[in-house]
Amino acid sequence: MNQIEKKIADIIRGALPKINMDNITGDTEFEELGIESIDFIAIVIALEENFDIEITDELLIMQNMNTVKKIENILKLCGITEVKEFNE
Amino acid sequence: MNNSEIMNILIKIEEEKEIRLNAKDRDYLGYILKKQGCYHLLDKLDIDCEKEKAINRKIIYKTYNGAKYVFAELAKSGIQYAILKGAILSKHAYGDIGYRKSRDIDFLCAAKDIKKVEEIMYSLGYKQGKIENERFCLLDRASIIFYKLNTHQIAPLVLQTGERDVPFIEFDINKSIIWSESQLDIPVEEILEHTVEEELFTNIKVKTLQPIYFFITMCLHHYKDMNSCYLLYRKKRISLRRFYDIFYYLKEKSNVCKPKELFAVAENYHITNYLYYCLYYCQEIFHSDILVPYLQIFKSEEADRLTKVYGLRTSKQHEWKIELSERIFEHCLDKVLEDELSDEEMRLISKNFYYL
Repeated sequence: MNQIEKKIADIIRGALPKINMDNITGDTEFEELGIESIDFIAIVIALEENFDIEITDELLIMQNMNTVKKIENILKLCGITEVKEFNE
Repeated sequence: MNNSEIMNILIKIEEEKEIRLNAKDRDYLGYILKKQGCYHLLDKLDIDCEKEKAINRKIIYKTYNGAKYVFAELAKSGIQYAILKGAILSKHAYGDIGYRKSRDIDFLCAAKDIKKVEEIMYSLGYKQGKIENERFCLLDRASIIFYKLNTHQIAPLVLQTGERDVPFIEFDINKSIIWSESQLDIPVEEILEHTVEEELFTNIKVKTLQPIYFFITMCLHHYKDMNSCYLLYRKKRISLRRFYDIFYYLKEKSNVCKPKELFAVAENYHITNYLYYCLYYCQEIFHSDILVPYLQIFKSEEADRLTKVYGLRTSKQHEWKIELSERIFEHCLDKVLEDELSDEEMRLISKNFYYL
C-alpha cells in the first residue's frame, strides 16, 4: 500500500478497533472484514476529521467507499493527494 | 374483550353488520382504536372523535399552508417530486383528511435533485434536524451521514414556524421507494414520470403519484414498517392503521388499480411479493371479496414464504411465532425480538436508536 493508503488503513483501524485489519490490502472489500454499513459512519467521520474535509453527498455512496483504494479516490476528489505527517 | 373479539368486530364493521357492545367494551374499543389512529372506525361505531378529527384537519391544513412556499419554488425550478401518503392518502382512502393523523410531509425526489431541493429549503429557513419533546434539535454530522448511507431518506428538513398549532413543518425526503437493505434498483426518475397535480386545499397545489404508483409506494412503505427489526422493536407493535390505509385506498381506487395492471407495474420492478404481503394480511383482517382477484394474481411460493417471516435482509429473516392480532394489539414486539435476534442484530438496532 502507498503512504496515503496506509494512512487510510490506520484511520479505519482507529475508528473500528474491534475489526481485524492485519491482512488488509488496497482492494480488500470492507464487508470481508466484517465491516457493516452502519460502521461506515465512523469511517467517514474519522476521515473528515483527519483530513479536515467534508465528503460531499454525491460521493457518500458505500459502494464507492468500501475499499482503501476507493477511499483514496474519494479523497483525491476532495483535494487530498498526499499525507502530511507532523513530527513533534 | 380479547384480541380475537376485537378482530371479529373489525370484520363485522366491514361487512356492515350490527355490532352490540356494552358500555365497558365500547369504551375499551374506543380507547384501542384511538391509540391505533383508526378514527374512521370510531365514526362507524358512533364513538365520538370529532375533536381529534378537527385537530387533524387544522394541523394538516396549516402544515401544507406553511409548506406552500416550498411547493411554489419546486414548481418554478422544474424539479420532479411527489408527495406520498399523508394528507393525499387520507383524502382518497377515507374521504376526509381528518381521519388520519399526519404531522409531516413525505416527499419523493430523485437523488440527483436532492442538493437542489436542500438549497431551496435552506433558503426558506429549513434546517436538518429532528423534533424531540416538542423541541427542535439540529442533527450532528454523524446522524446526517447515517441517514445518507443507511436509509432511503436524507435527514429530515424542519422549519420552526413560531406558530402555536404547528410549531414545526417537517419534510421527510425520500430518494428511493425501497429500503436501503434491498438489492433492488428502482429508478425514482421512472416512478416520477407518473405524477399528477392535486389541489389539496384551495390554492395549495402539490404533485403526487398516479394511483397505481401511489399504491405501490404506500405498500412498500408499510411493508418496511412491518418488517424492519428496528421499527418493530421501537414501536413494539404493528400499526392496525397500515392495513386500513392499504385496503381503503385500494377499495376507492380499484377501478384504476386493477389487478392485472397493478401486477404488471409491480412485476416490472420485482416487488410483487411485497404487495402480496400487504394484500395477504389485509385479507386476514378484512375477509373481503375485493381482495380475492389481487391475491390470486400476486400469489407465489416466495410471496407466501415472506408472509411468515420478518426482517428486511433476506439473509436475516426470522419466523413469526406470534399471531397477527398479538403483533397489532399486544405492544410486545420488543420482548419478542430480544428473545429471537442475535447480539449482532440487537447491536445494529441500538445503533439505529443512537443516530435516529
